[in-house]
Amino acid sequence: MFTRSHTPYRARQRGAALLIMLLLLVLGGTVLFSRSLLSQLPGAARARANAELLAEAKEALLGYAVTWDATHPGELGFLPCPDIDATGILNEGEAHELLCGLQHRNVLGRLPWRTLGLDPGRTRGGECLWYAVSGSWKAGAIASPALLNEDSSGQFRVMAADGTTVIAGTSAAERPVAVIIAPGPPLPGQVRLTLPAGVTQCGGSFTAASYLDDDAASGINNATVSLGADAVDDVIAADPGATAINDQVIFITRAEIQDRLLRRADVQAKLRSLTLAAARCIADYGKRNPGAPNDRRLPWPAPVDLVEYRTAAQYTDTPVGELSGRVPNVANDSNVQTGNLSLGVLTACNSATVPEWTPEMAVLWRNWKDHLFYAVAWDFRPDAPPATTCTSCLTVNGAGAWAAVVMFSGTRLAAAGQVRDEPPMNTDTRGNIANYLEGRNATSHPNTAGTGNYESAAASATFNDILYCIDANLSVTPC
Amino acid sequence: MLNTLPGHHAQAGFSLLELAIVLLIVGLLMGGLIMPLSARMDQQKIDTTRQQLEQIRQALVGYALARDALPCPATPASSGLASATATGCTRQHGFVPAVTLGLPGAQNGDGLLLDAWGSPIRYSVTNSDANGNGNWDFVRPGEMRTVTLASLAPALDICTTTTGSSATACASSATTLTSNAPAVLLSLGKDWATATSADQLENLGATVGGGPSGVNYPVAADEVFVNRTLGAQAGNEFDDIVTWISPTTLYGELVSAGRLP
Repeated sequence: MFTRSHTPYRARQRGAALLIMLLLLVLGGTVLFSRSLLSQLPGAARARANAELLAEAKEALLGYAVTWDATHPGELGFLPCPDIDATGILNEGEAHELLCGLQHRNVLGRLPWRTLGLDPGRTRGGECLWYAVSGSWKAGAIASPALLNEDSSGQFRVMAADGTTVIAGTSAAERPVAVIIAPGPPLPGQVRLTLPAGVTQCGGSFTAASYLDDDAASGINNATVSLGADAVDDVIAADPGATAINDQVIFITRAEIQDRLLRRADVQAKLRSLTLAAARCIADYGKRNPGAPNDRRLPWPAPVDLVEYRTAAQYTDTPVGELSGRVPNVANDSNVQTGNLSLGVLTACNSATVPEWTPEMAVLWRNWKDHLFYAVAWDFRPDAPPATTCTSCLTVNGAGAWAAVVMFSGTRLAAAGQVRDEPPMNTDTRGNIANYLEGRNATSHPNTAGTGNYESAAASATFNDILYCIDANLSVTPC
Repeated sequence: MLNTLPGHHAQAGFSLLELAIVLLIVGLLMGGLIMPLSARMDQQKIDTTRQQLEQIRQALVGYALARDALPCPATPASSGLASATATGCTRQHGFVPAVTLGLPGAQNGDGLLLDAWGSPIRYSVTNSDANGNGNWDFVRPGEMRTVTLASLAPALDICTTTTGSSATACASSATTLTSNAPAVLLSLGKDWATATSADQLENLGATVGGGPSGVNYPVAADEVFVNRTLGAQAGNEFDDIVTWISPTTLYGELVSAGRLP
């Protein structure tokens, strides 16, 4: 209730103007407020919607990586190339395997949504997603890496909006193997014209700089990737709702792909088969000696410490005076002593004589070759007298008399302190056999006397080597 | 209510002109508010339905992880339950089996899950049988594993236009958004009772009835669906909301769950 004034002036007061003004103000304010509410989504809502889109793209990419080998046997975990253009022989949204940069170089383009079977999915700003893949993980027809396995490092680092805080990639193992970027609204200078033909779904162009941001303060440019091999590119991730740098980023690590791959029972079986096939190929070399079957000498191992672990030609038998090392691909030096005309161990192996050495195994070896190790017995080394029996031979768990042992190192074990980074991006940890093999399998190296005692056990947190043994008759058995 | 006490001057009130001006202004303002509101409500329904389809998509993948296969579509007579046969489904093109999936949301008298406009949400599943043993690869538990990843060939097509498309494929690779979707979800959108453009007619398809309500529902007639930008241009309208399961995503999830290969 209100009390009324009885001043004489009150009589002239009609009171309507104020009320009308108030009404107009309230209504006008409501309209303006509602319009602003309706016309643009708040930054947080946009960020959430884009995050869902990015997550969906990530799931599809992970699915692609873990099923790629169904159509490309032996290639585990490869990621697709981006969509580079729509003017060539390929349609918009398809992975450009032929136009995917040079080997071991990062590539940036649009997300290959068509290849992934996805909707062209627009961000709340109406843009399609962008995608960059590490040179070490891309499935290019001519640009595939020379070796891709669980130890291949990604070539990205994701930085927070301040340009200095590392969100992902402080260590080589944590570096993302791919990043997916949702562009925000255009920044000054980002003109998004529809120029190329064939862009009917996403619109716009393939000019990354028109979509992805260049942070002058930190010098990180999301719109470019390095031209050099094995270069690591930084990607800056905007804070939700930010207006200066507005690229929203999600990333994939090698662990995410590997976790899914190793859940596949058949992957473990394939790697075991690779070890068996490699052992059979080494035994097959002994069967091709000129004096066979009375000369069963086996090739020298390849060195543990290589200049470049990805190059197959590096896996060459070099007489380093050691009787253990990596499984040799090429036999240059063993031949001098054995007189074997075959210049290859694995390269000369074929499925006609070794049925286990299938085309799939040859591809699998290319990608996992650094995981295979080999020790040869004193009596079966190339410069020994032609041998058919074992006197000075290898043992496993103190038993048996083996002409050779072939070992698959398995996944690196954190409990054993194993790291497997490689130059040129990182310091060389692959030259140390203890980063691959465990227990006596590592300590028996270099097996100078040719009578090493190797170790076999059930897989555990501290042991996961897989062993196959070659006996004096050149038969191969698990041991 | 002012000036009601005796002794005051009588209230003169508003003149007709004043009232007219005020009403005009109020009317204009309200009009300005209501126009975007109705557009907003349409958009709201589109967003709600999109979210609904997304939720169903996730439920379908979840079902596949748990049951080793996608569910069959519901029919008007199946009370919202998946309607399977010994080798496949009663209908390849039907409705979301909301009861089987345990999905919330309004259902009609035939147990069919409804979109924001009150029409049943449709669900189609591929009937591909890569190894020719008679079993539909994606709906018979374990059949995907039997067929193997390399051979699986889901065959639902999403085109950007119906022009030039057949019953099993889009006109060209350029108009094909995907040619290997295992499952498609579709809402007929705002004007679900009428379809005037060729693209909408493609999605409208045939009709199916047989439910307790006796209603005949439009349902897909072939394995080709159209998805394109929504538009209201006369003769070229498009308001259907389409989503599908990416085979890559589905396989990836099944691998993660140890269901494949």
